[in-house]
Amino acid sequence: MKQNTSGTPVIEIRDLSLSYGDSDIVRHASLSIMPGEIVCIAGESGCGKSTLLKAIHGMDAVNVTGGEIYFNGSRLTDMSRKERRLLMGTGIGLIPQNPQGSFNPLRTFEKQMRETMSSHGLAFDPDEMISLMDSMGLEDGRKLLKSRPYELSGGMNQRVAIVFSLLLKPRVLLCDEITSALDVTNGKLVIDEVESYAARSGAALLMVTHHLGIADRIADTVAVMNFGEIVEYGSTSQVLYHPQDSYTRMLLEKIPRVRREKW
Amino acid sequence: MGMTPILEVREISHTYHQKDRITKALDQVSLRLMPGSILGIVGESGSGKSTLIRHIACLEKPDGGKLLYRGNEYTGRTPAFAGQFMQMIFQDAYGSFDPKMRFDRSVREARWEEDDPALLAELLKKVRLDESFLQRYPRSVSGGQCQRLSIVRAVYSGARILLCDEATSALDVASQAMVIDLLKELQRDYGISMIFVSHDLGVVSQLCDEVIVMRSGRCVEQGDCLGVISHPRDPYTRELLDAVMEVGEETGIHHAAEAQNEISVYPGIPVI
Repeated sequence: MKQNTSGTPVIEIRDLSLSYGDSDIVRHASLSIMPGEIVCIAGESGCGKSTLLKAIHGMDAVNVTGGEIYFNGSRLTDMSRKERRLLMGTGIGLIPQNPQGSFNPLRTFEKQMRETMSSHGLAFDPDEMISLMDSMGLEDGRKLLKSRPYELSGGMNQRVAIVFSLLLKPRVLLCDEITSALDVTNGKLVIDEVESYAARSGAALLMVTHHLGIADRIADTVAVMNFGEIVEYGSTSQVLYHPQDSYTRMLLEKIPRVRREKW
Repeated sequence: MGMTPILEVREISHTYHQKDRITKALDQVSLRLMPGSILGIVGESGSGKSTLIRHIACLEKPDGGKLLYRGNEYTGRTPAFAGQFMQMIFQDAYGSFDPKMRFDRSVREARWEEDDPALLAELLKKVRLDESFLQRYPRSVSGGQCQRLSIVRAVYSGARILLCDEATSALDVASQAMVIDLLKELQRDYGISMIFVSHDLGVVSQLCDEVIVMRSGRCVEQGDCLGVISHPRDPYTRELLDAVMEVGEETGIHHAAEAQNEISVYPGIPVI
């Protein structure tokens, strides 16, 4: 959790509005993320948080109807498709919510990773991949490298997708509900692993989650979204412990907490 | 000696045979559900918690063991037979309704006895839905509304036991809170007993009286819910509890708040 307070933000969005087809999904959102900073966007289904991530990652299906997105000071909308494509993965990494959709189900993980690395001009080191898998509770990595996505469970695929994203060493890693397919024990391993990646590499994390406990555990900054708007944005302690917005308060109140006997 | 459990499971086992491997999805699991109480079953994927309630509802055939309703054995009966006294509530509420049928028909069809419009009206009021919802189709309501209607259907059918399988896991925070309150009201006002399967320890601790922790087809710990969560004996239960991420857990801010006569130190967050 180190945070530079000066310098160029790795990601900055200014007054961004987004739509899918005819419907407005995000309205006038502004955020800025410094290198090494961990930002969580919290909100419920349909609030626009995933759409915001997709726009930053540069997916075509999302229309930017207003505002700007900057990566290290350069405007994303000024870049050519090729430039943006090269940026994906190594500049801006994305761990999608549904990783099965991003793998070829019939090819081994090793082949897919090797190919991804070489398309970015990077060397593939199987041992690095195996040790990362091990730290996320995926045992027997050597065998896993030879397996295909369809042979593994949803939770295992999710963790392999996280390993893929980390191996590309992005400057900013966008995480879309990365623990939703996981059991609590594996969820914790994964959260700890992405946090430690940010700490050792100085990369920024932008995490989308409906889980405020994750935000409290690792985030420096929290943005709460409701119906396409950022309703509250500030330091984690400010937003989670002194919430100003009524929607943030509702979220904090309604989440069932583990009830324990009083000491 | 004591009350008869409304439901008793005695050493139920379920084995899968694959090629040369034998997997025990359930390994001699036993439980007792007392009338009017809520029993939570927690565990991670593959622990056997869903298989267990599928057995209770007669949707699976056990390799061994017994099922008893109010002391009478019903092992090996049909799902329809079990449906007279227990109903399942699924994670995917939409999937549990016929998409081409109005709620009115789906709900009335489920009742074993004579139609009781007064009871139906009362139940709809309880789940805070207008009677006009009965004229709608599943896809025209929200996930939370659909889940509340599936609860109405289950209670209206005359079931005395609800078997909830991750019933609130797909819902938004506000809908989830509403369904939890609703289940508590049904327990209080109608004496309905429930088995509540969930991976969410927060929800289970808020709702359940008793809890069973499952791992790899076995029950590793069971007992009073508050007691098990406050003083877990099994290492796996402890591991599960340690992995829960909550707001305020590391800062110890809740303990500080409790010391100050339970006044929350930050607005909006209840002291627990």
